[in-house]
Amino acid sequence: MNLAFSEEELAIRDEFRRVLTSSSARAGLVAIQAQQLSCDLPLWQRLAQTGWLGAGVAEEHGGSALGNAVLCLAAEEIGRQSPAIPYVASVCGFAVALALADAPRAQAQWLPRIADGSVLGLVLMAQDWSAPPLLSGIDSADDSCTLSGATRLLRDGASASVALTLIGEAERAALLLLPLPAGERIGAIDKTLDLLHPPAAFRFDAAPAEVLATGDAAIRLWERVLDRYALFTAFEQLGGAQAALEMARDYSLTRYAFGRAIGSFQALKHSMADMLAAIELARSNCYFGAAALDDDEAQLPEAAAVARIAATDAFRLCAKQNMQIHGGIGVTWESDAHLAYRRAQSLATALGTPGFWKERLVRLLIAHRGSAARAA
Amino acid sequence: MNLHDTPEQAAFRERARDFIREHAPWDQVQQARRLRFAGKPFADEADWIALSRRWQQIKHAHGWACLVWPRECGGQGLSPIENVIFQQEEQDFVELNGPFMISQGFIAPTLMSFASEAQQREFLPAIARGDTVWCQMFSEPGAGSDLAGVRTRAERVAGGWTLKGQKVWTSGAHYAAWGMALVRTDADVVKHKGLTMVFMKMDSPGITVRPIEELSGHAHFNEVFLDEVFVPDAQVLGGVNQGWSVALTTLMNERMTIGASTPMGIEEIFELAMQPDADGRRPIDSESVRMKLAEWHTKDCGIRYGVQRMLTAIAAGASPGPEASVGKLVGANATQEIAAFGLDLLGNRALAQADGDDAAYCFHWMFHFGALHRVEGGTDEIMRNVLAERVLGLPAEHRADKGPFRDVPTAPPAA
Ligand SMILES: Cc1cc2nc3c(=O)[nH]c(=O)nc-3n(C[C@H](O)[C@H](O)[C@H](O)COP(=O)(O)OP(=O)(O)OC[C@H]3O[C@@H](n4cnc5c(N)ncnc54)[C@H](O)[C@@H]3O)c2cc1C
Repeated sequence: MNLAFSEEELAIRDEFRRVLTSSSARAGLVAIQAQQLSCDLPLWQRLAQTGWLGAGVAEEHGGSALGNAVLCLAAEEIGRQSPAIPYVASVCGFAVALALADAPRAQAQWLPRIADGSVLGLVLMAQDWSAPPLLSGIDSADDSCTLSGATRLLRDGASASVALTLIGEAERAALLLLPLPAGERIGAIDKTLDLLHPPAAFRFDAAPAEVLATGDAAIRLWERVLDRYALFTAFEQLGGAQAALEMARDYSLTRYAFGRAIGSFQALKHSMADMLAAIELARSNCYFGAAALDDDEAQLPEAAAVARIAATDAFRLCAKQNMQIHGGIGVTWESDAHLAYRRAQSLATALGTPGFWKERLVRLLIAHRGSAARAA
Repeated sequence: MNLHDTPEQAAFRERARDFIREHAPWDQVQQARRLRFAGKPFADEADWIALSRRWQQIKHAHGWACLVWPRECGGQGLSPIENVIFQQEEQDFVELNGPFMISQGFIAPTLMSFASEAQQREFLPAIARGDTVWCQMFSEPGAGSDLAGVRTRAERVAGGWTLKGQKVWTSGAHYAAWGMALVRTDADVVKHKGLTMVFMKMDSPGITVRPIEELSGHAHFNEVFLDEVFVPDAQVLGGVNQGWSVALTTLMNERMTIGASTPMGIEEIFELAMQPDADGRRPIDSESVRMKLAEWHTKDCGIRYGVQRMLTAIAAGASPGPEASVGKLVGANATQEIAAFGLDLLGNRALAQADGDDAAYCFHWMFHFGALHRVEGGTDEIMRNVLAERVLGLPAEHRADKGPFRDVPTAPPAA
């Protein structure tokens, strides 16, 4: 077993880091709040120009296909720097999902646009629908159909223009590619939970869509999509947790109270040690997931679930303790601490709630035990 | 990144499996499994040690003992990765390593670093075979977490030292043939600088070992009284007043060994949750139980893959960092929680262990073990200090013990 990223992968990550540091969470907030943009578009364009939006796209579709390990590292870096862009949703989640499908035409149509940044994709789960979607008029010649229904608020919805989703069950299941009507940003920015990922909801009225797979094949594909997306999200959460811990540590070394650095108070040291422990567990589980993704798909469902559960816990703990360790300054609008706090919360439910992933894990473990018992 | 064995590792695993299939004490496998969480399913402790020794000697005879030790010390010169592979395959019997864990895991590496070659030749092979067991006499009534505060005095005499003082919580002192002790040789300097590591036969004149019962009622550890015990100069390890760095070597190995190999209890709680209760309901069908199981499984996985991350780092030439403390800190707390949850599920049935009630037996032991485990080998709080200071670089505590040891404040006498 090898649970470390290679030098080469880390070097690519470092380059990505350099491009990302040309902006910041704060700059993104200004873009969204003052300039009314749907995300940090200047940064998005820079990433498009430097090829980073094609990291999950094959070369034949205009991408650079940097591989799963680099996508994991990229997601972690996004978590660390917290730019206001839907990178993990679109470049990791959507692009990798679409690439898995046996859908050359849709891939040729959409993946180049993901890579050049003109299109931003999302993955919609069952919980994301408020009115159950209805399909009609499937044309077997070109797999086109129309769909009616409505979504709830979707994280990053304000900037998204296409989505993948699974609707229906069993033999009626269909994996759909769904162009999104122009999304409307809902509510004023100060009423948004995660300021850097403005949400939107969508209504479809006999909107065009494309069927990518049906029945069993669609369901199996969907499971693989969820596991991958969960793992990328876990890496994003891991990076967020690590950044929050470092922010807390650094502040605690410079802030003095009672004649000493607050980082010398044991209550704070132990709080930060617990943050570190949560991060270490999340990191180990995330690396398990990254290794499974490249090496052993059979272990990916378990790995993705444990990574997602541990990383959700770690990010939430670190984000809230970081605020606490900052005292008064930490709970102001001025501080970046609340940006992380908000993001830890929105990511916790972005792709299935913690309960969803725990339930998924337990089912898997019960099934494993059943098959182990039968084998014995 | 990958999850598979290299071809060499796979071949090694295959050989380990064949050896275990053929030679392990399968007639005693039930007893060996019940040893998890330090339960003592044997009426007589001597039977446990005898069985453990039997398995150890078979392993040794076939070249499967002390895999990571250098060959010249009686080991196999293999890497920690192969050691973990062997442990995985040895799963059912791994608890039979219990009597030798301290000798082989903490003491032997210390001897390898600090004992003379002649001493190594004398002691290491016997430790590897399981013939001699050593104990570790570090803690004292006044010095546990604050280990450098030991007060057992060593006075210079012709040809060596005489020791006077008391050790406590000494695991296995009642069956150990040899013991390693941290003692004070100079009280006029700062406390870390006046310590010396020595070793002695446990039947030396002046040593009295008295068992201490743990909360379980079993006596696994002891208090050891040292009354004018003579230790020859040749039995000083690492030089006079150099004992602290010797102790750190031992402690580093202790944390590695404990953190990496201790079960958390996840199999046990899963098993229990799958059993129908008196009303025919399975706990696992309740959502609150399922959420808990998922959380613990996630921790267990995180600890196990954390060990693999550490092995990857070691294979790449790095030395294991204090991160190993995370596994012990998280694991011990999870075990304690799991035990309480298991007892909750058992309800009244757990109020006393009925004969043959394996579940009650197991969760009683786990309940005791969780508490012990949070203290042994560095308490939770000490682990957090280590993580905060050595990994995160946070400032050390303000200390009241910086002057000469004899001036360090101690508890006021009881009124
Ligand atoms: C099962 C078992 C087996 C053991 N086997 C051995 C053995 O073989 N050989 C051996 O030498 N010892 C052994 N020990 C002893 C063990 O190492 C000590 O018990 C342990 O280090 C704690 O020391 P103490 O008991 O003196 O507690 P104390 O150090 O008095 O601790 C009491 C409380 O104070 C807290 N505390 C202490 N210092 C700090 C600090 N700086 N910051 C915050 N909190 C602090 C502790 O965390 C704890 O909660 C064993 C212990 C157990 C439970």
